[in-house]
Amino acid sequence: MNVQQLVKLNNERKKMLSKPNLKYYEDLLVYIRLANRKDEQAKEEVLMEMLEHLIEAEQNGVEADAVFGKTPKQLADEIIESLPKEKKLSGIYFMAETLVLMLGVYIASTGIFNIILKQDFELHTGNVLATFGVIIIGFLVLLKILIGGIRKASFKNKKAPWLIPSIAMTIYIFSVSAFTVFVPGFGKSFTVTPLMMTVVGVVLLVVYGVMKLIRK
Amino acid sequence: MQYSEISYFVKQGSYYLQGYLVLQGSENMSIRSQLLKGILDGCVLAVIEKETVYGYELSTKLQVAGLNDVSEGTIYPVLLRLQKNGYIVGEMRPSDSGPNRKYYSITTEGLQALREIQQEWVTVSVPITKLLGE
Repeated sequence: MNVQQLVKLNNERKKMLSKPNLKYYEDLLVYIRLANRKDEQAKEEVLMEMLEHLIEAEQNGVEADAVFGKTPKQLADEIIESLPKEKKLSGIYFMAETLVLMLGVYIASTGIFNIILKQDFELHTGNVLATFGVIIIGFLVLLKILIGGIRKASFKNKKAPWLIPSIAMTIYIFSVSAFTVFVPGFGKSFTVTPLMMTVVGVVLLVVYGVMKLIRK
Repeated sequence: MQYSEISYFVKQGSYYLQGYLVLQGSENMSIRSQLLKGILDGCVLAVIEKETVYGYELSTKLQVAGLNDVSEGTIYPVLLRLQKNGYIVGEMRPSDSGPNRKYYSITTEGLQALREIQQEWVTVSVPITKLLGE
């Protein structure tokens, strides 16, 4: 079974747990899923195994913390240590996929807005390259922050674990936008019609779709 | 709140307290877990050598053998490690009663490792038993 199938099955089977056991298991699950740079397939397989183990133990009348004998975090730390490392390609691939999506949305929407405004674009090669640079570097920085921040934040803030990632994302998009608007033109200039822009954006979105399909 | 939920939270609290008090490193790890840490891989391999088992079965067999304090949480990191080293292989088998189970069998390398561990155990356990005995 691949990762997506395992996650789906996990969501189904989790329903078999009693409330306290479910709470234990879900803490464990979030910790393990957030482990950085560990093989996703292995994570989901061991999560599935431990879920079934817990279900069976529950049927025999044992409670989660008695089964595992330690806090979810302690157990998760031990499991994470033994997990095999992420396959090199998949980490980069995942980041690239997200980047394509973001660029696609940005370019397509800019194009569409300018079709509405009936404006042509005057672009400068210098700016375009610099903007791409900013977007990509900013994205990598953002990822680093998110990956580091999510783990801690999610556990301190159960009610709104999305808060810090959302703020980080907003700052990122805001800064990229500001850069695009305020930095004066440099480099050779060329004109781009908004239609061309929209097409480029849509093409990127198609690429994103293909990347997602390949992953399945 | 039901009794089971209250007792769950009380137990959680006590585990968190224990966890907070445990120092990094093994100073406060229970003596039993310290002793078992080295040899548990061998015990797991020995069980798997006799019979292809899945996780829950493995922990039951260890408990039946007398290691009832070996919490089932400890075997999953062990199983992961043994797979990583190529000593065991896991195979998902769909079962009729519903849940898919991962069954583990020992490999040639695993057998070799087990033999080494068994030898080492004999070599050290005799003098240790003597030393601790009197």
